[in-house]
Amino acid sequence: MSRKKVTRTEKRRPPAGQSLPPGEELREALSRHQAAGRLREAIDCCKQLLQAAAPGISRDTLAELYLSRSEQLAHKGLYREAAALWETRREQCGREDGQERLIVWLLQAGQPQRAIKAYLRQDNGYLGSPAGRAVTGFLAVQVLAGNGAVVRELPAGHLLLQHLPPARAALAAYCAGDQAALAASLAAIPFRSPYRDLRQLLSGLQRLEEDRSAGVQALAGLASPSAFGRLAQLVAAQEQPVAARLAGLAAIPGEAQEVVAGLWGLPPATWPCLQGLIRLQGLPPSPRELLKLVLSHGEVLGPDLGRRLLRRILAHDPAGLAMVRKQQGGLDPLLELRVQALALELDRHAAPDALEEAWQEVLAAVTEEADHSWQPLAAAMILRHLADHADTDPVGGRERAFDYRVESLAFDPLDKKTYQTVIANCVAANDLREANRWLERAIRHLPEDGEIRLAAAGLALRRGACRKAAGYAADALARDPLNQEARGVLINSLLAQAVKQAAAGKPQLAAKGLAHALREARTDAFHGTVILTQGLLELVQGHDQEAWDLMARGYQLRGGGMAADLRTLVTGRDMGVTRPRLIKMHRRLLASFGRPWDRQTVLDALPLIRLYETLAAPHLAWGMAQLEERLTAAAELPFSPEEQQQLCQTLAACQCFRALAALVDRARQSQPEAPILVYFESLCRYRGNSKRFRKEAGMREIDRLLEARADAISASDWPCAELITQWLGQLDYQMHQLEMLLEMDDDDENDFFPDLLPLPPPERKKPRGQAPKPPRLFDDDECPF
Amino acid sequence: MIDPYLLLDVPEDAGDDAVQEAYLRRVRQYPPDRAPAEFQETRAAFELIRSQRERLHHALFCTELPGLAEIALPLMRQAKPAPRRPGEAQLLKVLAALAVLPNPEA
Repeated sequence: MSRKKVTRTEKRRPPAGQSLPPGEELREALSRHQAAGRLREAIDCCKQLLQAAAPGISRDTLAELYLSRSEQLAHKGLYREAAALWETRREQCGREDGQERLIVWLLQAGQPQRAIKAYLRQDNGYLGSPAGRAVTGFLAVQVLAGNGAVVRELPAGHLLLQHLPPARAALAAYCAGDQAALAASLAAIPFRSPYRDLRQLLSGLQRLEEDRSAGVQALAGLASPSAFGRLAQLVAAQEQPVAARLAGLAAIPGEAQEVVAGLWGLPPATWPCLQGLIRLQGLPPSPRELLKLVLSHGEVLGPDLGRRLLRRILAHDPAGLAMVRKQQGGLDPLLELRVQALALELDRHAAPDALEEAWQEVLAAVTEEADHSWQPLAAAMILRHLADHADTDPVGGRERAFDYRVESLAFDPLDKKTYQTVIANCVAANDLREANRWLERAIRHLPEDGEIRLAAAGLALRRGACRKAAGYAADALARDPLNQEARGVLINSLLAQAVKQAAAGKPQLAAKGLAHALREARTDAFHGTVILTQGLLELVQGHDQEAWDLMARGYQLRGGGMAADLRTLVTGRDMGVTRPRLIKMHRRLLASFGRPWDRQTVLDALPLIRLYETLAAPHLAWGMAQLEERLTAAAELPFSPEEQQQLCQTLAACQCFRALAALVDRARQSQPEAPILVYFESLCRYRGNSKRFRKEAGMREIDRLLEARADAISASDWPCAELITQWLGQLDYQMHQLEMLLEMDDDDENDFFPDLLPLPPPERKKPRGQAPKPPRLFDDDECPF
Repeated sequence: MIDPYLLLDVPEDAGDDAVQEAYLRRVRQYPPDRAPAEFQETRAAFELIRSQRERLHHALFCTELPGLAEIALPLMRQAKPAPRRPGEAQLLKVLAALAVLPNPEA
């Protein structure tokens, strides 16, 4: 007590150097306490101000403070104190408003006598309000349940007592399943009875047995905040999603949960498992708890589902294998190995080598299994999974991934995606012969597949076999005439063949091929491209007027822009048009139909550049050089970061370093930390010349590139990491290493570019000895995963 | 993600045709225009087990921790058409337990 006084005195004391009049000081303290929610202190201040008859402070101010304080106490569950303070307020301030609160607080405080006295004083306005109906419902349940403390306080003629007999009879009839008695009792409960919600509840529950959805609808209509309404809503929730039903059950007491589950029709056997789920509801997901639950209730969940759930849970809690082993009396070793591998996969800190090793053990166990229908496919899938992991390893990962994929095709020769990746890897490594070998194999196994045929056409184009490419594309188109990609490849193959024939001095054959291409074209862009090429063919033959007519038409149909310019220049040179004539014609086209490049125009030209790269068009670099000034200016166009990087890659491949430098400068404004831009910057600095890079690159530059490479790896940007690795690979490492080692201590040796040194290929696990046969869990030919 | 076999209500050894049939049955129940969320869920489940290849892949590499609702679903499916009536005393007790007074400030 004394401590409080000291505190108050201290609080009232004005800061040093200030002296407020006592009234003002109190008023200020009142506002401060009120704002801070210290209502007890605020009431003290208010009382003192009232004693001092301070202006602007009245009994109403005190009454409001008392009510707020009562609510504050009720909010903390201190209902008795809240009710007591309400009485103090009535005595001191003469205010009796807010009785609906008092009734609830008194009922909550276990003082029904006083609550009912207050309840009986209320008028019809209160009784008809939601708060009044809730209290009436509460009292109805208490009376129905025979709560003597409530029944005794009610006057003899009160409706709660008057309508009790039919309400009790209806409840008894429902529980006994006596439909006739139930109907009679329900009819005896008047519409305005305090038990009307019970009438609706029991009638809904009865209908549930005859027509479930009608019953659910009737129950859902009872939205009263009473106990009857609450039970009705819970039972009606049986048509809601499972998660909502589970959450609803978790929010009510145990006995009510069991009754609700029974009213949903759930058999008693499901109840223990449901209880376990309710216990876990709202807690953070725990694999161990789920494991215990599934193990304990496997029977009610069903053996198939139980096993599937266990597999998934165990990957998150491999230590739980011991528990499963103990309960099952042994486990299939293959299942255990797979769980360990998946657990490593989920562990972000697991070493990549350990992960690869774990999957290799699974693979060894799969291949050791007796002949099962699933075995080869499972082995192939594991090998592809291993390949996907190896792909993320910047050091030697690509080679290992290739080997894994090739090995997987021996087990499963029907996987198109794997063929496509293997072929793409061969093409990237410039091993076109090997790519072709895989392609032929793919066509053999997947003869009806259009995508494989298109890949074959792409590869044939790359190898310069344009006629063969056109054949593959035509074949794919015959199988799917709506395949626009196949149509594009066919037209481009025919154009490439025509260009070759024109260059070889066979204009008639070229014209025939172009006429075929024109018949296949379905869009203005393709029409324009073919007609432009026909014009170039006329130019090769010296028919300048015919050439101009066709080229002007084709250029316009193509819509001008970068693709049309590039097509004119590169194809024209490839067909054998001399530079001065071509440049003159191009300038004339630009003067007549040229239009400024916008973002889309430039992006539209990228597929054409890639096509020229595929065809190894001899004049691509020359054509790009002619456009470099406009490309440099185009760097300012509003490209997205992804588009900028894509363009950088294309410009680097075409060795347009001036335009590339401009684009990199622009891109660095929006993405200063992008590792790929560090690489392009370095590439521009030495104009892609590895000799210059080797000669002039200093340690600072190498450090920057190494840092960018590390950033790319940590962002899983493997292509970028690979590009930087290749660029750094231009350096004479042996020499650098030797020089550095001469300057280093022994301890530093391993720190020198450790991640760039090649790793030895991983040793493939040898097949292990005969594994024990799986026991009970799985049938003979059933996949044990 | 709910176990696809459970969602489509097919046994683990169901063939491609049975899986497709179950998928179409559920799509009829939850068409994309009327129940887009359920349709997406159904479609995702079908994609996971539509062929032997997908089924094996799912069995080999699925690591998603099951949710409580997923485990509760087979229990809810066991519901009998007729509800289990509580006893009179039990129902009264439950009504009393559910009789919670609303917060008067709300």
